[in-house]
Amino acid sequence: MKVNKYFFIAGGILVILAVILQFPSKKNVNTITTKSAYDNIWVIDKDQLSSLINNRNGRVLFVNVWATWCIPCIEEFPDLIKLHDTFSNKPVDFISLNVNLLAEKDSLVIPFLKKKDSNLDVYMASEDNVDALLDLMDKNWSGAVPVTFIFDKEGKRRVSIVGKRNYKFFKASVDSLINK
Amino acid sequence: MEKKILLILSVSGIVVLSFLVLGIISQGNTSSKEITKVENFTLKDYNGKTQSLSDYKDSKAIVLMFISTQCPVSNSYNEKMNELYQNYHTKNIAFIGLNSNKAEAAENIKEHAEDHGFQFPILKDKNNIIADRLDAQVTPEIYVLNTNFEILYHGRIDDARGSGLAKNNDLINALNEILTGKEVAVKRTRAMGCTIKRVGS
Repeated sequence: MKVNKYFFIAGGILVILAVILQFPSKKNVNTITTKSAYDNIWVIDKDQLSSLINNRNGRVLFVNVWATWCIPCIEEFPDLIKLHDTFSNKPVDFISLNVNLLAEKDSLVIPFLKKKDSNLDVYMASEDNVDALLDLMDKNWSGAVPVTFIFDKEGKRRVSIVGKRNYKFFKASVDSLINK
Repeated sequence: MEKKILLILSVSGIVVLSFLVLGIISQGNTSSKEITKVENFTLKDYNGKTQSLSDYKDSKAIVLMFISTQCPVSNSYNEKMNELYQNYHTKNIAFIGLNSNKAEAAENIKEHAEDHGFQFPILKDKNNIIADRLDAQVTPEIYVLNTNFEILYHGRIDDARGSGLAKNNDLINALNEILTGKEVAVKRTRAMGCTIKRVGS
């Protein structure tokens, strides 16, 4: 019954791998130097976001929802910049959706993005109606941030992640959808 | 026996990996299931005194507030929670704070409450049992109950999202409607804030 024994050992290894992937290691911080001025921030409405989600053209969409008042969001931000750079030549679009009030764009959001040397395309809700935008991604989403949604090449939401994750975890999630 | 355990572990590992590879994963709780009624519960406040929901049964309404000592959004509402309490407890509306975060012990909650002058009780929801029962996900998150513990309103305090610049005072609107005998017009809003840090998370 040697074959069975090896099958069980292989299974055990798979379990360990699965556990490692479920509980990512400490964050993998990377500093990237980009623009000194921040000019890739846009105010977006529901129709525009809907269009971005649905017009996939064979590209995966990674959406991260964050706010400057959210400490885990701030902690994972460097990993998101690294992730964006990793996939810059791959069929992946990134949306960084900030849920601060629009009134805080100049006072809080842009200074934060500059401080982080961010090169992400950042979107904020028009008329402070962030709920309408979030409903597009998941009507039942509770409101906890950070939250990340990954859509497949057909625009179908395939991954929902509440809470902070790291580069390794996000990359594995995106890779799995690119390679499908 | 050993083989059985290994077999179970193998199957579990394959299932988890399959989901990861296929990308059909949901980490954490993205959705909140709506419940309509809360069963009575008993918890200790930060002084160790036992309190039950039924202790407040004679109130016109009970406001349950899932709050945190550390969450910046929750803390941005400290003053507003005090104002709400001052303005409405005299109208026989009860306010109960609930702290379900695993890392926030009774002594932290007590110190925080004293620092911010909270007059309302704050109960320690050890092992997040009540948060699980209500499916509360964030701080601050509000449930307003009637005397039968039916949920009249669930969601945010207002739409300021930590900025202090509210346009819609959803909780105040709900309380005013309850006090005037009207049906709460907006029964559900999305409470945006920090994730409740549960045991095992």
